Amino acid sequence: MPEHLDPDAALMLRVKQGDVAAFTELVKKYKQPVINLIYRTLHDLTEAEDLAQNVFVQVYKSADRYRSSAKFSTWLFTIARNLCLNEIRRRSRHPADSLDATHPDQEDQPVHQVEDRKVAPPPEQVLHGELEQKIEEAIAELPENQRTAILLCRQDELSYEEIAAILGCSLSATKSLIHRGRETLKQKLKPYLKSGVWDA
Amino acid sequence: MNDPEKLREIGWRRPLTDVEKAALRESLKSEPKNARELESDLELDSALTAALNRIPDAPVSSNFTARVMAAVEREQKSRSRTSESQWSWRVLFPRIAFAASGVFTVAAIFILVSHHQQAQARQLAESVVAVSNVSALPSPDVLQDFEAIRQLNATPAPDEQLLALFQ
Repeated sequence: MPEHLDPDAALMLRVKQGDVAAFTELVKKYKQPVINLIYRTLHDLTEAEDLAQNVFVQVYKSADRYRSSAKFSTWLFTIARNLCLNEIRRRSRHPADSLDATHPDQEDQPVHQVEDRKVAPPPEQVLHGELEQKIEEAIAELPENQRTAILLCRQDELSYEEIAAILGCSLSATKSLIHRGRETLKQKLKPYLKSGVWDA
Repeated sequence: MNDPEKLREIGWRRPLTDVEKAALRESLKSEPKNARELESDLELDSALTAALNRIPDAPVSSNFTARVMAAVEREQKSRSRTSESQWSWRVLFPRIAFAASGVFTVAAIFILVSHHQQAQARQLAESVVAVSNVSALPSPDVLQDFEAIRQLNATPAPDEQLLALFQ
């Protein structure tokens, strides 16, 4: 094994040999950033966890195809993004399932559980007040590629070149996406940013 | 490092230090924006980076890892079931195919040889029949008197005077 092998790549090589414990370590390390990305793409916590689970299962199934020359996190986030895009396309093809449709196995239960808005929704655990809600809304309104580029920027282990690889575009195009996304966010959040609440 | 682009890119990921901010201000002095706008822009950039870094993590179920590993285990079992059935077919099918082709080849050869032999036997039988139909040949002793043989077949010349009388 090369001396300067990425630690994640070393774990992944063990996974290729059937080491389940190595795979558990990778899941524990990356579950949070993967769910963060998927949640802010799909805007649904339950679906985000389900899709994140599929991401890791896909990683496991594709372990034979993993090459240690590629950085594991780049490969992982590429899979995550692709599954998100598939889900977005699926939603666009089936925009509105009937709210009255019943569950195929339990006819007395609806397929879609509509939340009671009088009760504090789970996202309140995530959002702390109006300020954070504003930035979440602003991020959600960005085009998918700008949003993904900005969210991946938060992953310190990903270089701009690796972010470009995940997005499937050039380095200059990636930096342009980040710049344009940030300019849009600055315009929308100017009052809140100027208030000094988020001073560094 | 005084490259404004590099400093901005650093600022996208974390707030710039005071030294870095000073270097960026210095490098942007030639920009058309006035100093006040530039300063405002830098502060907005810095505040946005801080805000993005403070976005809280999405909550993750405590049993998320266990659920992933359970799904992986189901995947492993599914793979081993598939590979077992594929394995038995992978081993047996070529052998069955090879054996079947061998049997077929032997049968084909047997049929061809048998047919050829039958054809040969038929030809032989036909020639025997042909030979058996030939009448008995005269004794070779007859051939010794060649002159006698020649006269046996000789026919007299026509009597032309007699023919003329009949006409």
